[in-house]
Amino acid sequence: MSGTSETETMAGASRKPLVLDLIGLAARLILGGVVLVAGLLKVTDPTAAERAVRAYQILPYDLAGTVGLVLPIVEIVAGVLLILGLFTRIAAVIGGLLMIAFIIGIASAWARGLTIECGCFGGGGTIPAAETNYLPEILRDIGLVICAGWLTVRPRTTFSLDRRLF
Amino acid sequence: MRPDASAKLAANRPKDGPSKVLIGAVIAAVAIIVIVVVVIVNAEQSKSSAGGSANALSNGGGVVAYPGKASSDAPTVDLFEDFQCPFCKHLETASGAEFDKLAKNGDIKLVVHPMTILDRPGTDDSVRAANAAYCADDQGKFVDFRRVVFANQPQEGVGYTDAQLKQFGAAAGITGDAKKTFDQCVDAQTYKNYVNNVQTQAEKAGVFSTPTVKINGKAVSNQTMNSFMQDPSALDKAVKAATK
Repeated sequence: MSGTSETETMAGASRKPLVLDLIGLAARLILGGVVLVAGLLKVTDPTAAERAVRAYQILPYDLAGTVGLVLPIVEIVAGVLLILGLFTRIAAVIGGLLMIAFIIGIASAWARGLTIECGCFGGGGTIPAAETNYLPEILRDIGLVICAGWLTVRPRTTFSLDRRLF
Repeated sequence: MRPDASAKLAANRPKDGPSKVLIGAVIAAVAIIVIVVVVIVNAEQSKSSAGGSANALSNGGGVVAYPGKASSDAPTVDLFEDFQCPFCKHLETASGAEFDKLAKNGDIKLVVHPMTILDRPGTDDSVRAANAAYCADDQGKFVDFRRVVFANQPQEGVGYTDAQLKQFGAAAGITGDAKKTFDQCVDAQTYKNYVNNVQTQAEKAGVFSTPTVKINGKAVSNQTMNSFMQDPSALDKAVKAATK
């Protein structure tokens, strides 16, 4: 098994790679968990997901609808891959690009004075100005970008299918 | 004797595990197929150029309340509402009579757009309520019907049964044969496609929340909307200000 050979090599080396692998595991589970939940909550209500994207008023009407439909599926795939640790780097890149797109979208809505809910976990659409939550939403997504960045640079993590299979 | 190296050799042999390319290709293919199917199914569902009720504008444009009353130079006031939306009820309670009065006098052309924002997966209360409103429009009772619906609005999320919607029709003054036609229209959801069309057109016009009021195509500010909910005379002021 690959597990045995790895522990043998690691026994001689410093403990540092193990710590880094564990940080990677945490990054994987946080990013993957959030993205998977976000996708699952949206995929059950495609109409709301379409509307949430349209409420940003960035993309043309029909394209925004398609994005609303496709996005949850991409999120679920990337989320599952991250949690399993399969194709970690590719999944992390996808997750990171999504988060960057979300940050741009939210910042743009904020800057244009729209009062919308991000629709990150279902829902979305226009809400009263007092209920907007732009800064925490952006900070959360920045945190997730950091997770994605870590995994892109160093996709090796503990308990990953990547390690077990390939 | 030389030590047996077979164990070491076995450990160093390249692993013949599953192919990374193959697994990746399968995952990507499944994801792409799911995406294509979802997009196509959705495009099919949203295809509809259904006609509306007696006073409904074509292409999901909403219902003209008090048709034929508006003077030729009267500004158009579009009212976007969801029969399940509590703030729409507030608006109706505070300023509904004022909207009606201005429309009846011909000072404004009032167009009502019943929306379905508050329907969640598996529920279609806003769709059925909006459909019933169009059914009432065929009997000349659109305005009365929506007033009854708001007067009997339950807590958000409770929704309306078909039996309730039929009672609302009776309370709106639909009787006799007209009531039979109305009930059939409610049961058959005759205007379901038109309901969805109105929702789509409203979104295309940038309306993502209810209530929204547009005067001559321009949405009023939140502040103005709040004033409508407190002071009936605010509507007339806003209309005059917008058309000066």
